[in-house]
Amino acid sequence: MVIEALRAALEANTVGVRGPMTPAEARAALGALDDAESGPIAVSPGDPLVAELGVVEHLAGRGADLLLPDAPDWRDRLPQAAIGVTAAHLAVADTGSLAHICGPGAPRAVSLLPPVHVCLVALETVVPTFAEAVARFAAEPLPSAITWIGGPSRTGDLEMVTTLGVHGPSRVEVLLVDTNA
Amino acid sequence: MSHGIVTPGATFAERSRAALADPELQGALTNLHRRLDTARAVAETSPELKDRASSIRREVLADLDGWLDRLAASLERVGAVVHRASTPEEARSVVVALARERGVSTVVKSKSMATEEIDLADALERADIETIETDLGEYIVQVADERPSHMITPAIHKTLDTIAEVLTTRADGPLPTDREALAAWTHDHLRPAFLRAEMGISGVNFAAADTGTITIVTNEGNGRLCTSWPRTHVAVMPVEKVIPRLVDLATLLPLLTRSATGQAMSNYLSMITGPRRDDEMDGPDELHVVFLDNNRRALVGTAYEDMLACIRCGACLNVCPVYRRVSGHAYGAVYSGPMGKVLTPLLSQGAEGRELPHASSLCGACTEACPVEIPLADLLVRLRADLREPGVLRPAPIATGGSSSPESTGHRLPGEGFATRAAAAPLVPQGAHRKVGLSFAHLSFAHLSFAHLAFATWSRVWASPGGYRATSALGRLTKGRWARRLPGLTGWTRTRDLPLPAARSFRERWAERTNDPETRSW
Repeated sequence: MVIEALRAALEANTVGVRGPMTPAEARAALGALDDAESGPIAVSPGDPLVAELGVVEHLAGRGADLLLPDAPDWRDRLPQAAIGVTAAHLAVADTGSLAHICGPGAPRAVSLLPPVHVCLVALETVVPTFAEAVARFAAEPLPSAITWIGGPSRTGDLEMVTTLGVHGPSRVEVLLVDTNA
Repeated sequence: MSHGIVTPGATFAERSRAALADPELQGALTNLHRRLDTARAVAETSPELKDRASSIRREVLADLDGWLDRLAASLERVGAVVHRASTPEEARSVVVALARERGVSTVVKSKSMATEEIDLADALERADIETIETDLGEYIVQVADERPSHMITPAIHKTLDTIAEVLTTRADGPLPTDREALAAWTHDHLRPAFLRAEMGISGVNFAAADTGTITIVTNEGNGRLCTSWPRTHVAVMPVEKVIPRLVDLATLLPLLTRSATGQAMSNYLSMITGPRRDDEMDGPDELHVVFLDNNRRALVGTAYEDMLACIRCGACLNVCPVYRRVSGHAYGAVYSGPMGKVLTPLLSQGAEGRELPHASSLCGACTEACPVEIPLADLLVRLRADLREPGVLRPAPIATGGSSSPESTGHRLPGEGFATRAAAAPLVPQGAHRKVGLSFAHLSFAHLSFAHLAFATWSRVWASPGGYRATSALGRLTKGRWARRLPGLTGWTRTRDLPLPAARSFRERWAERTNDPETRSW
């Protein structure tokens, strides 16, 4: 129920939603990305699900052009990245929001500067309401930033018609992952 | 202010006439119908949510200075630097000094009404610091050397053709009249500015006193870029943006975004708690928060306190029959529409916008649309009365203390309360009518204009059935000609239609019908 509500809310915000899928399928889906895109794949390795799925090792094993936050030229190369890969800490069904906790190994701009953002969502992190998500964050020590993402960057400034892709990614893909499968 | 205002004219009436005669503006304003769904979203919002939001906002106003102190302590605890500015001048010099001390040559800004209020971009430009507005609408307005005409959609007054022409002045060749192409061009054109800017400036939508978290909502992502990439982030926060608790965002944010754009949630939401921490690759090294007073704190405890509950959603603009015809520039002020008509004279203590409270039909649509239940129409009526006296506007504190209900905010003015649901719901008992009729007795007659005297007399005469019958009979006998010729009313009727009295009154027809055996039954 709550998964379908999340899917509907995200799709209404022009987010592509795939899954639920197994961890192996998620790794395969990420591996297929570097066939289609040119430019580095920026990853947020500090996100728990990214670590749990072994995303960095899998992509490195395929010889992908990876960009990780510990790279000395990270700030210079991130603007050239083709894709940003992150995982949501919580996904909110009623508002269709993907909440990302920023911190060491989990920069703010991986989901912002590249034109495509791929976000992994573990089924057990989906919560029904925005209020519940805020209450969960408020109960723990706060990071320097929590970024909530609803979909591709958009503007209403051109005659109040929603137009995608102004400053942030013009494409957002969500992979729903059943980590118990 | 140095920005050009596209609608010429010295008074609201002159600027409105120019706006009504401007075919480009009138064409662009038809797009406002797309925002009417926001009014529907507010109307469909559960009363409980609105009540909860209203009570959070009033909880802040009951102890504004206390919440600000708690917020300042929390911000400092998480490593932010707090600056307190009493005036726009002070706020400008704080920010310009921060930029100069750091050798900043480029600033990127996300949209913020507070920075418009203090004209910050111009101050930075005068200090030879390149300052780029990055919200697309705000950028269009900056390139055109104008001001925003709507707080959510700054370039609402421009059609796509004009926008393409304006942006072409910054492009290598003519830009197409195509939305996707213009958005893509903006992406490519402004991205280098984000990457080279040493300072990002934003507003604040809400700041939680318990955690020191500032929240910024955007749809384009420019707010995220301004607060993520440059080494210094400066947030300009009008003092009333403080909220007690982080969890209050669960109530206020959905209400803000529904009321502003009809979205369940804004596309991007940043909850920022201090600057970058050790080992973080991005986020600013420094976070500065500038508390802007500009006469706001003086409103606490006065009859105008409710105005500080405003969350800047723009819902009152979208439904206002005046705003929808003349747009924002006709107001000649940073804040336009119903909330601007109230806020402009209050923030300037009567130095600006004295005529604005009169630019309203008092239809009450703004009061209905307001998600935090600000009695805008009542405040307009009160301002009309208070601004009769020339000079500085300094609202007096009221004895009953801070409260959201118009009934308890000191004495009541004739006509006040008619537009609010709370006042309209119960039938007013006879004694209250008498009170309204006599209420001009405690006003100083030295300041009574002819119009006020006429309305007060009218109010008194119509408070009695005999007075009502006598004057309405007179109106019917003369077919209203007397009213149109009265000195003072000729100006009033130039922009209004005085309805002609019916040949036979409802009372006469009622009396006839109830004497007729066929209709007596009903």
